[in-house]
Amino acid sequence: MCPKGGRIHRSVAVRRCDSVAWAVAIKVLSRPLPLDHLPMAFNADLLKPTLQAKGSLQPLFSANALMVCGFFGGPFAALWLFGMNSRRAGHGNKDVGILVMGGFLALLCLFGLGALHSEGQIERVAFRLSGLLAGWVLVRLLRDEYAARRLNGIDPAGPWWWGAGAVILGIALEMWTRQLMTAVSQAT
Amino acid sequence: MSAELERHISEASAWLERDRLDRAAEAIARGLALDPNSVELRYLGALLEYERDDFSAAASANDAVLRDAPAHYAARVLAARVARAQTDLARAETIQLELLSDYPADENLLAEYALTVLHGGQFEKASQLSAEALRVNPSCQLALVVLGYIDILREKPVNQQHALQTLLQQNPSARHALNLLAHAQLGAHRPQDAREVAAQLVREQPNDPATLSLARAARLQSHWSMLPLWPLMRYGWGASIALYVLGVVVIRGSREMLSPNWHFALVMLWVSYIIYSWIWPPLLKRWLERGEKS
Repeated sequence: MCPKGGRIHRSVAVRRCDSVAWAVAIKVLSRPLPLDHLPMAFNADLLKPTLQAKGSLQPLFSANALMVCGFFGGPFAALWLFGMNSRRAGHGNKDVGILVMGGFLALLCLFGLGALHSEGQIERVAFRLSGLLAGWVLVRLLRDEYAARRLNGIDPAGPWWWGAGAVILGIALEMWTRQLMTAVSQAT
Repeated sequence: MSAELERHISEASAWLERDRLDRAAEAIARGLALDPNSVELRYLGALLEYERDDFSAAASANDAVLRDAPAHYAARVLAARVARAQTDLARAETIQLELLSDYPADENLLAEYALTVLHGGQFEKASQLSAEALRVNPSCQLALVVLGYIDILREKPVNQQHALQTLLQQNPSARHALNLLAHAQLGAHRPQDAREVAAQLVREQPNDPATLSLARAARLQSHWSMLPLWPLMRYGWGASIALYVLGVVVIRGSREMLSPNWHFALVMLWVSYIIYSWIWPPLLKRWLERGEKS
């Protein structure tokens, strides 16, 4: 639903300022460069490498893909694509807590919906809304990674197969929890 | 070095600074005919390939320069830039940290490293490195551009983007300042203003694909047919969620209040708006692109 087209195009200002910086760099060649001391209060930690583990940046599934999957497949579909994005972003175990917490909240949400015992529109709307909200939060968590890929001119990954898989998984989980809740309520 | 060779080097540098790449290539070719081993000319050849966005050619030409002159400052900087352009950020970082250990208080190198870190999505570190570069030289343009980009990506309001304001105060007609301004206005959902700035940039650089792309984005967002989609452009997915909820509530609530025909019309209006928001922007974008080509 979002036509938000204001993406930062492939490092436009950066490419242009590259030219400016090059003009500066060429001029710099003619003057003595190394100073014998750093400025006061220089934070030496800033010169420790932090990109070595990054490798080359892999494309992520777009924010739109995450939101659409959340809309059709509910919170688990959004969470599934977030997990894949997190792996592609090289976060390692950093996002495990978010995935566990998100999975717990998504299960609560699905059991809550199952407890409604309704086949009607309210349940469907609540399911989709929970997926959209989950997608929105998860996209915000990956904001810097998306920005980095826009700066590097990396297009999003094709979402069709994984997106369809996530939606099917989300819908299957939703149906399973609903059946489970129905069975529980019949047993009690 | 002969005076003629020096003249070719300075001529090629001047053309490169002005983005006149064909003229620069001619000057480099003339210089290399005089001295095929000239490190400076071969370096400028590598820079030319970089400016042409042929990064693998730039990398191999620059590596050859560095084999003959491993301490060549500009070639080392270019090697990091090429690695960054090829999204090999780890290699770019390694080269830049080596450069910074040789030239620890060079504001341009600090800003270059900030840019690489920004490309890696580490906004906080990029911001701190830019601040260090500005402490060494308060008018370091590249550091200001990096900070300006961080402000845009963080979606700061334009009137709180101090780096952009400083850039515009220092050099109001510089291309990089205007570029950043156009992006800031686009990010602040003021496409009409962005369009005017982008038009000026296109007049200066009619063949630059990045500038054309920026102008196209501004034209797309300020097109009259995008006016109905303003809430979605302004508030993004938040507006989409609100539209969905509002649509469901209004349609359900009005079922009893409206006649079936009016209710059907309301549903059709809602669905049409959603379809329009999906279909029209990419179509318009293609149409604008085709208009530019013809």
